[in-house]
Amino acid sequence: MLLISEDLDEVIELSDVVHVISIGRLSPGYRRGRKTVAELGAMMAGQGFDDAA
Amino acid sequence: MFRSRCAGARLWRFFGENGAGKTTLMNVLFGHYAADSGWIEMFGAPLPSGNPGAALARGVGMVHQHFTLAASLSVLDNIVLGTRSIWSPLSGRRAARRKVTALMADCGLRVDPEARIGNLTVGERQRVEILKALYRDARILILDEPTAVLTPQEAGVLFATLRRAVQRGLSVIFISHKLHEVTAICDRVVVLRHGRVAGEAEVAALDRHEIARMMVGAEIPAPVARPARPGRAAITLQGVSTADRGAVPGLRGVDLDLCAGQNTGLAGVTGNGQAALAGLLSGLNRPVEGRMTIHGEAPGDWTPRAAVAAGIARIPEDRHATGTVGDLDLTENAILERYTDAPISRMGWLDRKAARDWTRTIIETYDVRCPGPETPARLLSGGNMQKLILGCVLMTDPGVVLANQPVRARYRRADLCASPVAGRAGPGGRRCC
Repeated sequence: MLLISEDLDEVIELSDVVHVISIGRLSPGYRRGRKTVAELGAMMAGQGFDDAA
Repeated sequence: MFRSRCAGARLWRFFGENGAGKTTLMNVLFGHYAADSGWIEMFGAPLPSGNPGAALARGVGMVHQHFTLAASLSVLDNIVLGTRSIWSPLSGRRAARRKVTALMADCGLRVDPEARIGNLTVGERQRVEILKALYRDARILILDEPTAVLTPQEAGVLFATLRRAVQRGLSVIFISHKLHEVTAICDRVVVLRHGRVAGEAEVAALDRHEIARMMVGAEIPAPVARPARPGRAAITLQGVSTADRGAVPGLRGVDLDLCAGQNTGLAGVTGNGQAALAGLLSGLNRPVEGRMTIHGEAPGDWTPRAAVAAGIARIPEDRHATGTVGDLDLTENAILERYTDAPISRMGWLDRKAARDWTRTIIETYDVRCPGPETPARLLSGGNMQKLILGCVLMTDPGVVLANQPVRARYRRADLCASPVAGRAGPGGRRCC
């Protein structure tokens, strides 16, 4: 199942692997527990993406 | 049957599962629907049935889940819309503006009165809806799932505002299905189940387990997360880009493996390419760059029909626009993607009995509350419409489920987790929780 959601808590609770999407770019998949809510939230705001991509 | 009383300036919470009757009850109260029997008494006098004008005049304000604002008008125009005769002189606008500004200062709901609605965030639009009700001197404010569209920070601000309004004498009826919000802000809670009052109590006297028990009529076992056993990649994307749509970006060089047997979550603020990805996977658009494989092969003609044939089922974001066809009945909706398959199609003919049986199975398995398979889909409440969509998706035993904003659309988490197929999910199947 691919779960698309704005609610980060829901995504984290229900997913085995989480990707973050920002301006059309997709992060690598992170297994459950590998990234904290704060880290994923920062990525949702565009941090950590390679701008050359 | 519904009997309840609302006294004094309090924060009330009507609370229940999807399809329990919360929104219906509020629509009766506001006069959108006429009650089949019984009566409503407000401030000691009976309220005419099915008359929103009368409800407004008596001080009932309602903030719908889907806002009713004119996007091309200013905040001020939206707030005063319908309160003045079209013949009234323009000078009335200055007085209206003064009243709105005073209201904003009073209740702490700040929005630029001259801003255009179309340029506001969802949270700001909700403030305008509340101001609209207060401008009409609402004494009872009904909010239908107000936090569904807000970030947690915005919800916190809303709660503080409502608390302040209640201290000034406003009664607030708050419709929700989120348990943790009840204990946070409400004084009294009424729990609805299957259209009946399942319980009613002071929030202080309850704990969350008791409320949950009232909601579903039994203890809910907590969903248990089992370790995933990911199988083969069902869909892979390598360096895939799609075209931009106006200001909404397409995908830019995306790599993704969607494996069978595991849940893949996509976190992101709406408008960052989710729609492009969902459209790509459901056959609505194609990569302009990069490579996509479905079950290991590059698809030839990539269309929605090809996506359905490849076992990709969708829970769409907008259940009215793309999830169901309102004027078709439940059977027609249920077979939309499979009317060419056996047993519904027999030698090229539609077997209506098989179609109805299939629909009845969905209705029973997923507890879709409706008069029967012949009901037009538009007559279902939101919650029941979702159960129908979920049933259609999961009963076809799809290889991949694409769930776009299912929680915002208020699918119960329990339904997503405890689907009948979850039990036999392994490396070959999909997996829910």
